[in-house]
Parts: sequence; structure tokens; C-alpha cells
Amino acid sequence: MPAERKALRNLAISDSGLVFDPATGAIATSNSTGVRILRELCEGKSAAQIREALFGEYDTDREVLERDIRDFLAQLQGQGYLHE
Amino acid sequence: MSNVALTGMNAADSPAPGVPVARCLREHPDFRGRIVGLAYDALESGLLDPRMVDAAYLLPYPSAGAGALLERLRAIHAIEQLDAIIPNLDSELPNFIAIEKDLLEMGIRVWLPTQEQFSMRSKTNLPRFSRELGVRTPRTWILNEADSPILAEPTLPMVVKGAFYEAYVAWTREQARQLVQRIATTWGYPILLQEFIAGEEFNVVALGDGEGGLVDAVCMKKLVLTDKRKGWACVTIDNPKLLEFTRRIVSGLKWKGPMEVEAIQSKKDSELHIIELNPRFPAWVYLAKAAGANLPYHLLQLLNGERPAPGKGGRAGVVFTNYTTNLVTELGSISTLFTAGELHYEKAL
Repeated sequence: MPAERKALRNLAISDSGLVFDPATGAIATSNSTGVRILRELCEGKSAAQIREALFGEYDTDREVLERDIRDFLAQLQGQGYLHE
Repeated sequence: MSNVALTGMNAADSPAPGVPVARCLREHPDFRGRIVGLAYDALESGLLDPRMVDAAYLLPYPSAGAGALLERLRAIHAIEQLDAIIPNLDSELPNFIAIEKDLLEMGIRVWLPTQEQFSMRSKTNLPRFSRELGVRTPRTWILNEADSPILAEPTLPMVVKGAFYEAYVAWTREQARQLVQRIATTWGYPILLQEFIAGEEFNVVALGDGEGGLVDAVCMKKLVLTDKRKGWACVTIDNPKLLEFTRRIVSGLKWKGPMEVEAIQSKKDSELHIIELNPRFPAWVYLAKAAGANLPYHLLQLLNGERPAPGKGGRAGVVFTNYTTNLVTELGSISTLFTAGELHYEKAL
């Protein structure tokens, strides 16, 4: 499905990490970081802005964090919620 | 509308719509009527639940014809003074359509399509109807005998379907041949072979006003499937494209009555394709009621000459899951149904 038809902003995202697409019925779960990324994407922040903010907050290996964020965004792209 | 009869009362692993329709009516605050269960077998389990039906009657099988059905309904009407019947099974609908005028003369109302409309949406005519309407449907071949050379035509995988019931995906031609024989043994010919479309499946329950208008419709996605690919757990969705697709079908047919649209959104091109148009409420209709669209009650309103308020398509994110439990009854109830062909709970309880 083309990205523009799967509107990210329409996703219902619960605090517990349940993500529901009301247009397709697709249901997924995410951890709290994933929920935060999704919500910030919905607010209009760019992937780069979110990445930089997380780098500043998490006391972890930058390479591991970079890879985790990249994998998460790739999943969203694969499902049509994000453009390349 | 006080006395309503319903068919399709079997609440088995692949349930019929009768019990969910009864629940929708029972739970509407304005419904004060009696519900009469009509069935073809004394063991259709919905008949044995006095919370759902006030009385139960057996009908002659659809193969006995419209005359036999009318004769039986006259006898039931003499006892029950029925105001309306909601038939819920595909295979019985031609008989009910054939006796609609007789029923009306008796004072019994039904909200059914014409025979022509019923035929247009049948699995065998669906490709032609879809073309006329400008909506897509998978390429379909009709098979009238087991060893037809047509079996070699569709590309693999293909879907093998009975004219009324059952559909399976075949990954080899040998598997397709075996499925054809299996379905033919139960349901006979024709059998349909259909192009397999990879994508997401969606279902819609709709109610047509008979003039091209859509009273309301609710879209859903199956979350958990049974081995027969029936929805065991489902969630309502808000999909404007699917709703518009349904509106186009109901309008194109000027459909009068309930309908279930089975559609698939192709992974390849995102286009919606009609898989089937079922001429009745689906067994998941209670989900639509839970989402805010009590379509069986709206049908009664139409039969009363009322115009239900325009629907909004139900609320997205409402989930149901089936669960099995045990219904306890006395052997006497089943034996009364077997021998007398009817059961009255007011007397039995």
C-alpha cells in the first residue's frame, strides 16, 4: 500500500504500547521507546530530529541505538507508514 | 413489529447468522417483540436457547421447494401471527424470494432482493456484474465436471470454491482436482476456480434500502481465523475507501436487504477486489451492533416503513472473539422438536 494511504497520524497508540491502524485493522505492539518515536513522528518531527534527541537522552552505545532506531524506522517504511 | 421469525439458528464452529441477529434485536431498547427460530434440523443449537427464541419450528429443506416452504409457513403463521421473517441462509433465499408476495398477502413482511438482483451477485455471475460496475474481481473459471480441461487454465496458486459454501487455496493442480471432488461431493457443481490475489482481506456488513441507498455499513478485519478461514476474532475498522466501494456495489445493484461484502486489497496494486457478495447478514453482525450500527433492527425499521437515521459506519477498534460454552437443555425439548417440529418455551419453561 502506498505510504500516503496509510496515514501514520491516524494510528491509535496506547501508553501500554498497543498500536492499532483503524483503516486496516492491523495491530502491533511496541516498547516505550517505539511508542515515543511513533508519537513524535505523528507530531511531525523528522526521523533525524528524533534520533538526535534520543542520542542525547540514552546513556548507551551510540552504534547500538543508531541500529535499533534504523531497524524500527525500516519496519515503518516496510509497512508503508513512512516514505524513504 | 412484534413477531419476527429468523432462520440460520445453528451456532456451531462455523456459526450461522440467526443467533447474532436475534441478539441484536433482543438488545435494542425499542424491541418488544417475540422471536421465532426457524430451522432445518432439531439440533440447530440456537433453537435450544430460550434467551434467544420464544418458540422454534422446523422447516422443510430448501430442496423441497418454495411451495413446501409456503405451506409450512402458513401453518406456523396460524400459531405465531408473524409480522416479519429475516432469512439468514444463502441456499434458502431463492425460495423466500419466490413466495414474497404470498407472505405479504398473509401479513408477513420480508426485506429481500429480487431474483434478478440475487442472481447478479452470485459467484457465477459476479465477474460480469463487476465489469458492468467497474469494480474488480479475481478472474474466475466455472467448472461443471471433475476432469474438465479448465482445471489447467488458472495460474497457481488458485482458489477452489463451491457455489454456495467452502473455499480453499490450491497450490498444485492435483490439490485443486482433489478439492473440486471434495466440494462437489458435498455441494455439487458448479465449482469455481479463482485467481489467487495476495493481499489483505476485509469484510463489510451492509444494509441496502432497495433504491440504491446504503442504510449503514460496518467494515471489519479478521484477527484470528478458524481452519475454514472464518473470523474467530475480528475488529471493526474505519476504511473510507472500502465503505465507498460497498456504497458503489449496493447502489449498482439497488440492493434490497442485508449484504456481506468480502473484499481483498491487492498487495500488488492496492486495488480492492470483490471476493464474494453474500446476500444476508454475516454471523459477525453482532460486532456491527456493538460498534453502534444495529443493522438487524434497522431492517425491522425499514419493514415498518420507517427511515433509519443515516449511519456513520460504526466505531473503529471494537473487537469480538468467539468463545465456546455449553448450553444445557432437557432431552424433552429436542424430542418435541423432532416429533412435533415445534417447541414453545413459554409452555416448556
